[in-house]
Amino acid sequence: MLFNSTQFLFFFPIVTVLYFLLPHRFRWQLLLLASCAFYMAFIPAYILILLVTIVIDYFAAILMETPGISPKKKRTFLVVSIWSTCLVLFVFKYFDFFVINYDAVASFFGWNLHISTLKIILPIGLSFHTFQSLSYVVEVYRGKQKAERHFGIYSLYVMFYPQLVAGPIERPQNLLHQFYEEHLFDYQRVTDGLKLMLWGMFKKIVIADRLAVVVSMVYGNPQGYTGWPLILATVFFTFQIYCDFSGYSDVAIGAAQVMGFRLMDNFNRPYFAKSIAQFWSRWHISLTTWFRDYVFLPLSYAVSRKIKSDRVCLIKTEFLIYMIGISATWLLTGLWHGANWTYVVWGGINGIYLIFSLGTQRIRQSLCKAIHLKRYPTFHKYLRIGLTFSLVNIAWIFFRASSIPDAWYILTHLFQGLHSGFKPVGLGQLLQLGLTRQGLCIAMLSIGFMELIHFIQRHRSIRHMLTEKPIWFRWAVYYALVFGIVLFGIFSERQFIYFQF
Amino acid sequence: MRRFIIKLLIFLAPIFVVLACAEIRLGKVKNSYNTKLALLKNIPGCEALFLGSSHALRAFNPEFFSHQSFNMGNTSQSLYHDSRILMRFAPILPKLKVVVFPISYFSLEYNLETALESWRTFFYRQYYGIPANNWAMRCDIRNYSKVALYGQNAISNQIFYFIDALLPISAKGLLRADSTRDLPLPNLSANGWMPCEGAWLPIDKTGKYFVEQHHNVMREKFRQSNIRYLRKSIEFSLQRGITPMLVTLPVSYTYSNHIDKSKYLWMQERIRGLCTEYHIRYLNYFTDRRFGPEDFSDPDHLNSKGSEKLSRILNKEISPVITDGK
Repeated sequence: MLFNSTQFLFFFPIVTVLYFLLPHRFRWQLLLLASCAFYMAFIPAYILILLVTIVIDYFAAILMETPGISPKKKRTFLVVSIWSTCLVLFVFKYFDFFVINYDAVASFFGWNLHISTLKIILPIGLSFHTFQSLSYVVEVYRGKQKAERHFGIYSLYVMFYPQLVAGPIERPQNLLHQFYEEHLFDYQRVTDGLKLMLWGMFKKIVIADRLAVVVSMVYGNPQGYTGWPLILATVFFTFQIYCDFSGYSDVAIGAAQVMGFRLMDNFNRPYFAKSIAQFWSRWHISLTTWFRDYVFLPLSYAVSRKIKSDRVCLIKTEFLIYMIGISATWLLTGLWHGANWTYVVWGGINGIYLIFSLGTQRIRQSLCKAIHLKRYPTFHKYLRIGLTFSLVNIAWIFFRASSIPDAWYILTHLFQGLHSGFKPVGLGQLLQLGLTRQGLCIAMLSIGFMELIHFIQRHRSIRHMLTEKPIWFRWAVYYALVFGIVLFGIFSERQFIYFQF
Repeated sequence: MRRFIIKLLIFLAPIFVVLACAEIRLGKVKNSYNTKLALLKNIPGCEALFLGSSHALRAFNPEFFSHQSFNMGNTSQSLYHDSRILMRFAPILPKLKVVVFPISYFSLEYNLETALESWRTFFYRQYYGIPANNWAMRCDIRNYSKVALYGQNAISNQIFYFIDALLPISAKGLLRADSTRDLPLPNLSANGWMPCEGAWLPIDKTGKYFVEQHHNVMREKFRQSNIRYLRKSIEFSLQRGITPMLVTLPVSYTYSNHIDKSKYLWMQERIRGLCTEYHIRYLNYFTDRRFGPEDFSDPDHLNSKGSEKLSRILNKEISPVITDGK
């Protein structure tokens, strides 16, 4: 079930009303049932896959807390849980990718052993709830979380419908205990949640799905374009993926908030970041912190225990550990996003950015000092924001392109033909990318409107600002959003981008 | 909570008003379904009824039949809908003597509810009272709401035109996109036939493309159900003293050259079997040489000229049945 569907328009109010009408002790059952219905709206049989992973992780966590258990046995239960969860992920998401690459290698070496692909549809949200389950068993293993004994509550932790299919990827310490809390109806909390949902829908339906028209046309056949259409499609994709994913997250967080649940923030105005490192502390926060806590830090620690010297091949040990950790983390991050080399390259590019950023930090600081850039802090700030935005755009090319050759073509033809400037014929070409003149204006204006909101949000909360305004002003804003969605939205029930992960 | 509910209802009231106005306005939009129904009700003396998909819609021109008849075919209409239309409207056609079921190459393996134009299923529900066969589709809101049926684009167009009417002359047209206020009026004649002018240059790969498109929607799993619908239609007709006739319409050679012969032969075998079982006639014009490229507007649809030709030929078959009851 998509958030931007008619079904959800009925599903959400019914579930929410029932939630507040039911006594607290029955609410977890309602939410679990609703979450099952939400998930089964896609392919009903796939709920069995979810059930298998839930059962394995539930019992693994309880067994890890057996009194007197030896560390070796405890680790065995952890490994079994991780392997079984990852096996499900591998079979459904990566097996065909593995087979295609194996076939390429086999034909290169002349091997005769052929493996058939499975061609099965990826269960929706598999990567998200897999990571959520993994964080649970690891936290239980580390002793930072007690194993959940209530099977229904644990199932709800994995399947909680607002964040089931595209996050935020929650930690057990944040979410599990909330299912035991009684959430009373709170006017301010409920209205704030609904406003957040409305804003999320606006970003998805008006901005993201409109930009997707141009992006799909150009990235669907990049060899048909050079210059401005490629630049426009790339920049549009930058905003499309942000509005799509942050829109989904807003709806998820808002829907949970209405019922009294607090989910973690997933985005924090990422395109205002002044460095790649800062960008990744603001984009898909739940995923980046997951990789930091469960891949980067343990890996870096393990590597640091192996290296005893201060330098290795003239490279400082600290920097080397960072390089290894970042490289592995970002290649895995890329692979998590999809079974395609474009995602791996995208992850690798971001890893290179981070390594280069740390490695050249002193040089860049010296350069700034030499050209007295610090005397112009505002210019310096926006220069950094602009550079970061450009670097992120370049990486997104690989994320969106269908193949490495397509991505390379786009990268090498972005500026082709621009020496003649932005002539009217360029504008005519832009209007052939699937949007009318009005559609293009709406796209640009809505991006501008959204970034204005983000600009204001640097220092003030929009929510608090609205609360201070008179009711007629607030309602005018809400009506503008609602009718903006009705009048300018693209209602093709286009799936959220991150659903495919 | 009371305060929230009251405020929510007040907030939603204008939105509901807009939706209600849109629902009423969209109910007046003419489409091929409500237009055909209105036309059919004007012909209570109808003696021959033609059903079928767009092939039939463009092929049977009642003007060239000796007796009063009506073309109830529609784009992408399936055998399920043919069957239900007959059962639904036969009672209001007391003089009905003959019903023609076109059986195209794909008919026995086609199901509208799983095809690209499955949204038409909701038009049958809204305008003819024919529910979807699929239970999940029966629960869809598009069965009951015009707003949901026509979609957000239709609402926004209505609102844009309303606002546009209030704007000064210099600003008119600013809000409008390319679409018109209503859907294009269906180009139907008074007896339900859709004229299609123009000839078509027979290009082999066009015919191949059309066949491939049909192969994309054909599924063997629909064979049994479609035969069941056909049986029901035949039995219903015979019970009411109506003579059913099965007809396969002509296609161009660029189309027939690319079909899957095994599928075609299977279809022939089943249709002829049914005709033998119920003692009814089957007329097969699939590769009839009387129809040349000048009779087609595309590889498998007749143009006006071809429609006249076919209608005159078929009239010679149907007319004696109506006159003599044979």
